[in-house]
Formats: sequence, structure tokens, C-alpha cells
Amino acid sequence: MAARVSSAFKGKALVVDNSAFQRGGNEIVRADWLQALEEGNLYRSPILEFEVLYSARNAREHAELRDELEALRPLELSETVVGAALEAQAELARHAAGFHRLPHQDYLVQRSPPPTNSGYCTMTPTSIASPSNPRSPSKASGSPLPER
Amino acid sequence: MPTKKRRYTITSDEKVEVALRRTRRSFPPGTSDSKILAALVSRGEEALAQASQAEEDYEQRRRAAAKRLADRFRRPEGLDYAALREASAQWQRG
Repeated sequence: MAARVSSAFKGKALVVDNSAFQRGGNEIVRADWLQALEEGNLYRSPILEFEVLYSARNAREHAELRDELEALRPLELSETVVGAALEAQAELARHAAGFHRLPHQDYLVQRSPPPTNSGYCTMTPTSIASPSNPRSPSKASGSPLPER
Repeated sequence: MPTKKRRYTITSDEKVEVALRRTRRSFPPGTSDSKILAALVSRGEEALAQASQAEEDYEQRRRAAAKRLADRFRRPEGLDYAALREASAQWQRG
């Protein structure tokens, strides 16, 4: 398990969403998570910042978390990203009725590309557990957003 | 002009022409292209060094922040996980 998780992280630029952020506290993946963080392979969208800072218990913790989030490289929530997110939603809407009714933050985070990497991976719990196993049941229940 | 110093040949393209055209305004009339290009090379080197230093500073700050965030993740009470989950749910409520 540990070896598989480690190989999943190695060198990949990962966009971290809220649930993936929470995995930093999970003992099973913490070492790899923190290594990726230290190496600068984790990216944050403004949405993650709002969500993490929402969780601050007081003004001091808000300030501390805001500072600590600088550990993740920033991504711009640009017009291009919004356009790509809306296009992904449209694609799902064309697929079947109601298919597109996903949380809007998921569209936006999924369509925020790491700037220095041609690849893309949202660091969801699914991708942490089994990023390269297409037969994994958790893969099937992961993000249904269309591929780029 | 004769010189014992090494000479460089550069091939012009659109970017070089734009840079020359823009920079010429800040030189006295009649300044040669080679002088302007030499100035651009020097200023470019300074800008690259500054950018490199800024990147180094940023990386140092980022790593320090990473260490603080790592410490937080190691503490059971480091984050309010219930509030983090709630933060995502807030989007659904509208």
C-alpha cells in the first residue's frame, strides 16, 4: 500500500481540493503528502483557500493558515479556467439529463491546470488511494468530470 | 569600428525589432543598434538575476510555510476537520 501511494505522488503536480487537503492529517498518506508539499508539487486554487480559511477557529488561526497555505503553489482562477469548467459542465449535461449537477467548486478546481505540468491530477481521496488502477472500484466512484 | 574585443552576431526577429524600437526612445538620437543591444543584454541579465533571486526567496518562504503546515497536520487538533467538511457543504446550500 505504502509503495503504491508513494509512486502515485512522485514528481506529479497535484491540484489539492478540500477533501485531499484533509488527507494531510491521515496517517496512511501523511508522509507522502508532506513530501509532495515539501517538494512544491501541490497546488491550491482560491476555492481551497476560502474553504480552509472558513475552518479557522479564530482570527489568529485564520492568519496562521493563510500563511501556511503559501506552501501550496497558487493557481489563478482565470476566465479561461471558468470557461473550461463551464464547458465540462456542458459536456456532462449533454451526456444525460441531470448528469451535470455536480458541485461547482469541483468543476473549477478540476479545470485549474498546474502551470508547469502538461499532466493533470486532482488530488482527491480516490487518486490518493489508487491513481493508476483503472479497475479500482473507487476510481469508478471518483470524479465523473470529463477528461481534458 | 575596429576593436580587439570579441564580437557577437545576432539574428534579428520580431522580438528583437520590437525591443530595439521600444528602447531606442530612451537613447539619444543616432545611437547605434549595437549600443542599444548591448544595453539590453546588460539590463536583461540584471532582470534575470533579480527574477532568480525572487524565485529563491519565494521558495525559501514556501518551504518554511510547508514546515509549519506539516507541523499542523501532525497535531490531532491542528485543524478543525468538521469545519473543513462543512466548508464544502456551504457551496451546496447557496
